[in-house]
Order: sequence, then C-alpha cells, then structure tokens
Amino acid sequence: MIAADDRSQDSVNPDDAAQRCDVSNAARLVVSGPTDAAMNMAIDQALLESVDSGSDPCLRFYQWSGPTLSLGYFQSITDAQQYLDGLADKGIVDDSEQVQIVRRASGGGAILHDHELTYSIALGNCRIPGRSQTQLGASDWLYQSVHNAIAVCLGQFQCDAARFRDSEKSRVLSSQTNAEPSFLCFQRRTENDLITSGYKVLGSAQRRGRRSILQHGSLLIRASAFAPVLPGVQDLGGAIPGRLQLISSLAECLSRSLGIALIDSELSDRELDRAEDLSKSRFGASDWTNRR
Amino acid sequence: MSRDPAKLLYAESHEWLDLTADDGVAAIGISAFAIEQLNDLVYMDLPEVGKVLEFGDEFGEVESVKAVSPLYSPVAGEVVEVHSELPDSLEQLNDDPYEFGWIVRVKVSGDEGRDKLMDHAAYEKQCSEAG
Repeated sequence: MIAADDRSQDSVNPDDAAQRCDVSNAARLVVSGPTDAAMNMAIDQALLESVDSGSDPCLRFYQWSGPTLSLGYFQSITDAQQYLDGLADKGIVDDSEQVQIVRRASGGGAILHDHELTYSIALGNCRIPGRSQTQLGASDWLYQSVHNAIAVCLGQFQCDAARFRDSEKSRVLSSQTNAEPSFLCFQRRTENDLITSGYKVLGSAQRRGRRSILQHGSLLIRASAFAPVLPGVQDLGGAIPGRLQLISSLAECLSRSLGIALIDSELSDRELDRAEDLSKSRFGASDWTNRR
Repeated sequence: MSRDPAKLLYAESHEWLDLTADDGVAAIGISAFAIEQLNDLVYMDLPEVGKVLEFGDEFGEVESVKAVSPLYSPVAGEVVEVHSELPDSLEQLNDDPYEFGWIVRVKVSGDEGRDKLMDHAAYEKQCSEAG
C-alpha cells in the first residue's frame, strides 16, 4: 500500500470523475477499529455517497463494538427478535439483549457479526468492466472479483474455499428449491458465496447508488455463541493470522483482482459529518430499524 | 386509458414520469429497460402518503437478485397515492411497467429538475448506448 497523501476527498464533478476513471486506478484503503452498529452502516453509506459524487473508490475493513445482528433491508424485525429470543429459550445464551440489531441498506439475509471481519467496497460504475454509468441491478463481476480474491487469500492460510457455483451446487440446490429463504445469510446459498468444507464462510450484499455500487460482506473467522451452527474459517482448519496481517493480505489480493492501487486513507471531515448524521437519522433510528 | 411510453419523460436513473393528467398529479414508475436490467424483482418499498419529495430524492427501494436499488424521484411534490398492491405483484411489472406498473402519484410542486429529464427518443438512445 502507498502511504496516505493529502488528496481531498470532497466531492468531484461527476464528469471529471468519469475522465478520472479512464486515467487513474487509485483507490482508498480505510481500516476502522471496533465501531457501533449504526455508525458502521452510516460510514458505508457515506462512502457510497462520496464515490457517487466522484471520489476515488474506497475499500474498508471494519469490526463491531459488540455482537451485532445486521438485517437485510427487507427483512422483518420480528424475525430478528424471534431469532434472538430463540437462542435464550434454548439456553444457548443468557442474555440475547447484548446483541445490537441494525438494518442494512443492502439486501439479503441476517448476519451475526462477532468473530469475523467485515469489508466494504464502494466504487463507481465506470470502474466495473462492461457496466454503463446508469446501469441498474447487481454487478456479478464485483461479487466474483471480490470473492475470488478472498478465496485466493484464504488459500495462503491453509483454507480451501471455493465459490458455491463451483462446489456443491446441485446437491444443496435440490434441498432448497421453492423453500422460504433462511433467516441467516450464512444458511442461504447463492452462486458467488465462498464455501469451505460445505459451510459458507463469506457472504456479501450490494446497494446501488446513482452511478456507483457499494458491496459489503462478512468473513467468518470463528463461530459465535449467537450463531453456533455457523463455523468460521479457523474452526474449519484455516491457520488465520492476526487481524492486521489478514487485512494486509486481503487488501493485496483485492487490489490485484480489482485492478486498483490502494492508498492508506481516513474518512474526510465531510464523510465523518455525513456518517454521524446518518447514524442518528437513519441507521440508529428506531423507525428505520423497525420499518418492517 | 392505457399509458403511452412515448408520451412520458424519463430520468437518467430509469424512472418514468407521466405529466399528462389535468389535475397536476404525476404518476411515476420504472421503465421496461430498468425492469429487464434489474432481473427478477423480489421486494419493493413504497413511501408514505404525504411524503414531500425534492427532485432526485429517494422515494423507495427495490431488491432484485443480490442488490438493493433506490428509486429516485423525477419530480418535486407531495406523494398523494401509492400503489400498495404492487409490492405483492411484482411479477406483473414485467408484463405492464407503464400502466399497472405505476408506483406513486405525486402532486407536482414545481419544475425543479425538468431540464434533466429526457423524452422517449432520448431515453431510448441512452439505453441503446448502455448496451
């Protein structure tokens, strides 16, 4: 990684940004310490907005200040509460109220963030091969590129992970046809999920901006007491290093896969202000969390 | 009377706007091209009646395969009606994005952003250039 520079991350004219796409592969690397749930989601949204306004792409790694259940945008808060109450009823945990709940702006299933590493990548459509500026919907290229890179990285640590489409597709699909999707993301299967020894260890979701995409995901390191049926890569035999070395290796693999040159960076004042506002007005607000 | 796509205005973000009614209330939906790109919509979120929108404000979301996409308002005004049946009937959007597929009706408050919208021919050109 290149050391931080003084480049301002204030918004850039989108037309200039489009030209910049053609001549620059620079991207920011932000590493956040443990942060509360609403602020984590708010920072991701602020970075998406920043990129949408023309800033360089941003790869971020982060953790959570405590065990957190992040819901997909369209999931039911009642299902979340039932899931946590179920853990307490079964005597799996003493107090499910120590788990924070936050609603993501991306879709998919619920993720229990505990012994894991979360990443996000925000980049303009112009950085995605074959994607027009105003293209809608998911970017399969982004899912594939990120997940392939992480699979390669995990291979360095004796963890053999493959995309679901390349592994047990026919056997598992037959059992899930027409079934209601599982509440937990890691009990669902989609083509680009990373699978080790039959277990999903990496799942991601996307949210579109006007001319950009945010993808974020969770790499399970060890099983959580709040999701004991979901082992992580370490439980499955991987020799996973400490957090900083893992982040360094992942960043290197991702920079090669995505064709970006990462520069150590921090959130700008504008992004921090926007994230604080979003944390209060949206992701930490009960009418957002309880919206369905 | 069936809505004619050729008489609508279109945002770069693929929402369509029908300003042909006499009562100052515009209908908003998403284009056939958008629905095809989104590929299998599974959920839709609608705003509440009474919500005041500026041009370009997010007024709802759709979840398609593996992504949530916001919907951006192509007009400024107040939401006076939402198509509450639509989120449970998303499969019908493919067949009828312009008539059945209206998402909200908005009492228009001004011309804000009108210069950023395209007529049908210009929108078709944008779509063909996008591939």
